[in-house]
Amino acid sequence: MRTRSALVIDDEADIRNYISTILEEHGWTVRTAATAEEGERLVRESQPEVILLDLVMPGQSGIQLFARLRGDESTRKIPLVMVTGIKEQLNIDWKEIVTRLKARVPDGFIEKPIDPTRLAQLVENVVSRPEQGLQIT
Amino acid sequence: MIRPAPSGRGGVMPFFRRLALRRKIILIVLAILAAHSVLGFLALHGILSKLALTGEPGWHRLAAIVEIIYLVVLGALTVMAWLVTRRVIGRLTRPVVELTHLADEISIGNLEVEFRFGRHVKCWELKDCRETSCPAYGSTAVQCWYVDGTPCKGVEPRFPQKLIQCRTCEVYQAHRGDEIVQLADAFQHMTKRLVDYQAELLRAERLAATGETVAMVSHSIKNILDSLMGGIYVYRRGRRLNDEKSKATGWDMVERNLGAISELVRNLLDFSKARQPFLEPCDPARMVADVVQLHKERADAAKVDLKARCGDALGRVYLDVHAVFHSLVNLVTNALDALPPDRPGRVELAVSRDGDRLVFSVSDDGTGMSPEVQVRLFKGMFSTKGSKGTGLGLLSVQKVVREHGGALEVASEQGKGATFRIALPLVTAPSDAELAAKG
Repeated sequence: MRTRSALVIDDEADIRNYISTILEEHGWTVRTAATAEEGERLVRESQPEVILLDLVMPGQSGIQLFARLRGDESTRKIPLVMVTGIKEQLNIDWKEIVTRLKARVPDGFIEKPIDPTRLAQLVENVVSRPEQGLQIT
Repeated sequence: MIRPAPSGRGGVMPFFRRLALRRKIILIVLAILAAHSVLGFLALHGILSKLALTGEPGWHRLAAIVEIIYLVVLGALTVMAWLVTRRVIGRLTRPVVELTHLADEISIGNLEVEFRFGRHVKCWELKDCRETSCPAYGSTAVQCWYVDGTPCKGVEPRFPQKLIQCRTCEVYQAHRGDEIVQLADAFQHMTKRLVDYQAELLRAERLAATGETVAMVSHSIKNILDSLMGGIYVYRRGRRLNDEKSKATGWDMVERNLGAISELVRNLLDFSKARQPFLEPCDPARMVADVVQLHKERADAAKVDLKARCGDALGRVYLDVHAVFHSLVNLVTNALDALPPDRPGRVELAVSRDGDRLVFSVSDDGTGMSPEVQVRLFKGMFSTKGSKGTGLGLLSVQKVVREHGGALEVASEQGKGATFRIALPLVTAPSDAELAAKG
């Protein structure tokens, strides 16, 4: 079986552990990063099949990293799932970001508390049907 | 501070109008007499001067005496005139001066100034009104045309719309006649409205702050619970697969997040309680060493050089031991959180004496803060830790420092770390040896 690689970028070690464990159970090989900078380096280095990115992080935020990844030809097509703790943050003006970057919105959103089954299903969906558009769970 | 303004109306005519009839007559008679005296003296002096020209020595002497009396009377009248003028000018300008003082008080933020300019027309008396439920009934704080909701017939219910109709009302007319009083009334009304708006703003701010606090705390609890669920998930997986490493990782996550909930609750309690510090003798150098020891394991794991430094021989001092210890724990935790994970860092907790102050400082060489962030730090629940922080920790530190009568300061530069400095009043406590010697 082909090994599938995922990258989890979250400043909280416990959440990284949690998401990694869920994905590993579903056959993913997971790498993790605690900061947006480290995450960006790993994206360019390993070109993962899917990225799970925390929206709110100290220092450079998930939004900033998203904008950079989507603005770069080499990373813009990697499916990306945003992980958020606050529902209201879904109201971010993605339209403006997307228009500015001429890129598509994040492929998926998952809100905390994370449900393991839903997370695994969402990741499968965004990887198998990347052009489906925004998927929220 | 309440600053009373003087009673009385300004101006010559209002002053004259207020005098009793007898006093008015006396004043007029005196003025006529004074004028007649001056004219009489002038006429008499003229006649005697002409008679003195005849060469009679008696006329000459009499003319000299009259001249002296004339000069004395003229001098006395001049002094009186000066005194009267001064008093009149004083009466004219005093209300303006007082109004200026009131304006100064208001401009420095004292809105509780008290106005006592002029007479207050009591509308309910003037109009023989029995509407006791009227908001203007029985009130001398502000004139009725400024009061909303008066049940006057044919009058708009609210100011300023009602002012057009009120201007023709006998109450308003009875109050007219002195521009200074009218100006003071308008000024008083503006001040009252300002006080009302201020109170409204304060209520709105409190509501917003409460909402913000609830949102931040809820968000924080949600995050902790999520990590807790993660810990349970990882542990169960380890048990299912008989994977000891996974079990240990999961259990650590559970423990860590139970600790985080406990920490959050403690911060909430510390922050919400109004209390006096419970001062006990303690050794601040020992306290600093204990706080560092508590964080040593975490610092070592993260390759952080965590040190305690005691600058002086401080002996024992009085402090609220639990509260200050917990504040130092908060600051050191914040400092460790501020260090980037991709390089070794440095954190130092120091205590020293600065005059009559005991100074604790926590420095790090982490990410630092911009001036904008530093300003926001102490203005409500604000955190630079993303989803990990509530901002409660620093607020409870600030509260403890205030309870001790001390000061909390921060100095930081973006990318170069930060130093938090707690300066508390230094109250030395007797050492064990001194206590033993005293028996």
